[in-house]
Amino acid sequence: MENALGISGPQAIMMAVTASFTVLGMVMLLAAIFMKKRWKPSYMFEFAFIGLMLGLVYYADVLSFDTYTAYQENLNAEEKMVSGNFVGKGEAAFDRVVTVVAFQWGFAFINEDEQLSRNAVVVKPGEKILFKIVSNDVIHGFNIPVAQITAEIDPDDKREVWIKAPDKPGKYLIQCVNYCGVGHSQMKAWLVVQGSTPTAGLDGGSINGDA
Amino acid sequence: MIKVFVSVGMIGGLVIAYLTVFAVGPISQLPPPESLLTGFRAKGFVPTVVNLEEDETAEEAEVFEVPPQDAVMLKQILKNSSSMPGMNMNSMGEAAMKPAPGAAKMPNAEGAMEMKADGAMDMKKETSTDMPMGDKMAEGGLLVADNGNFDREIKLTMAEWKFSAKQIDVKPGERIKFTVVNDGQIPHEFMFMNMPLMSAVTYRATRADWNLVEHKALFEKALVLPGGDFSFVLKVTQPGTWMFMCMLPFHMQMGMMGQMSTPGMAMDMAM
Repeated sequence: MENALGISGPQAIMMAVTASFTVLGMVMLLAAIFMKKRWKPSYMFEFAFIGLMLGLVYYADVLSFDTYTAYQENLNAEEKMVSGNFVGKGEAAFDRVVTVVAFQWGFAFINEDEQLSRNAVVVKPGEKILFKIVSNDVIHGFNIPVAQITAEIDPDDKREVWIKAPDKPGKYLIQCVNYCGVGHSQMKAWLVVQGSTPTAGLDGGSINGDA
Repeated sequence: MIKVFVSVGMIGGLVIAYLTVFAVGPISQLPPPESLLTGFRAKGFVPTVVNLEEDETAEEAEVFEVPPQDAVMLKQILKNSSSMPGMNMNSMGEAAMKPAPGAAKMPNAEGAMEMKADGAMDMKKETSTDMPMGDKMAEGGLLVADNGNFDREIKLTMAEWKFSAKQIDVKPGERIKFTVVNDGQIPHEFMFMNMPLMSAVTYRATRADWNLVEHKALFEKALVLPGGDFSFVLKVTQPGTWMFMCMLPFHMQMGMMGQMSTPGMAMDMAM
């Protein structure tokens, strides 16, 4: 069942139920205001009505549980994940390993050839990239909105997160999301996606190190 | 009783107004006590080499845009300098430069700059003269090369939030070897800019995406990690004054800047 908003499944059913009850409630209110004679239904009618409500609540609960389970399964499907925490195994599966030094205020990206780039990391579309992030001074954040990843980097610690680069070439924002000083708002960098899609490396192994 | 509350409120309002409008302190911040990179090198988290090479792919990608206002200003400067030979600094920009007899002020990143009206800063030479020396071209009155012969050597130290020298006096035609050391706890940058480029910075200084735009400079060394150093040889080809600074956000605003000038061309720096 697909409704006018293009939504189908349990969500659409719940929307329909909610809408009907809203309309029913409005009609009853108007009736209470404008009807000359008071309507006195029998007790049985009231019990039936309450029973219907309880049934609908139970039905909604079951549906929402189904929806939530389906959402979680979809979320955890590995091929759909675009980012995550690195568990320390399977580093060879990544196309690129980038060391990031977060400092006041900017990001320094060091590639595998120990070359430094300032506030820009250049990757290819669809690549799987491992970021090893350290902080030079205070607590910094590391957020790539397009890859749905946020990490907090404590001083004296290393955070390892991975992302799958977007398939569409372009410039994507990398930013700090933990207040780190007067220049925090300007602590941003570019994730530059350019070039052609890599031919090898995508099936090289499991990201989570299970294979 | 109501009078008491009203007067307390009035006084409180005035105090808040004073604190927010007049008594605003300078934008400054204590630097971090130590760079943690040393420890990370021992743990193998970051490369052991301090002076890392620059990543060419990131340079070639041209990801950093020149902000529109900067582009307009720089275009205007180039146009003026090519169409009006012999024009001096004063007609340079409708922007922020006004002719002022005698010494003038160069206050802060707000950028209202005034210069001596000697007319000696010849923009024709600054933009159109190509004098190869080593691998770089002459631009803005400076010839910069990685190494070469030099008349004297200057050592500069960068730290939070200042350079070891605020004022460097040079003579036209002099060749100087600069050795710049990052003695601070934060990565820093080193740039030379002339006055038109500095005036283009004024717009950028108000933006939150400072790190995402291009900082056009006559000489640029991006990201020197704590403990790192580099050197270059610079030839002053004409009289003038140049600023050197760290262009990381708020580093320049908090004092990481200085000037190099030929005799009679120095500006007063109200810092």
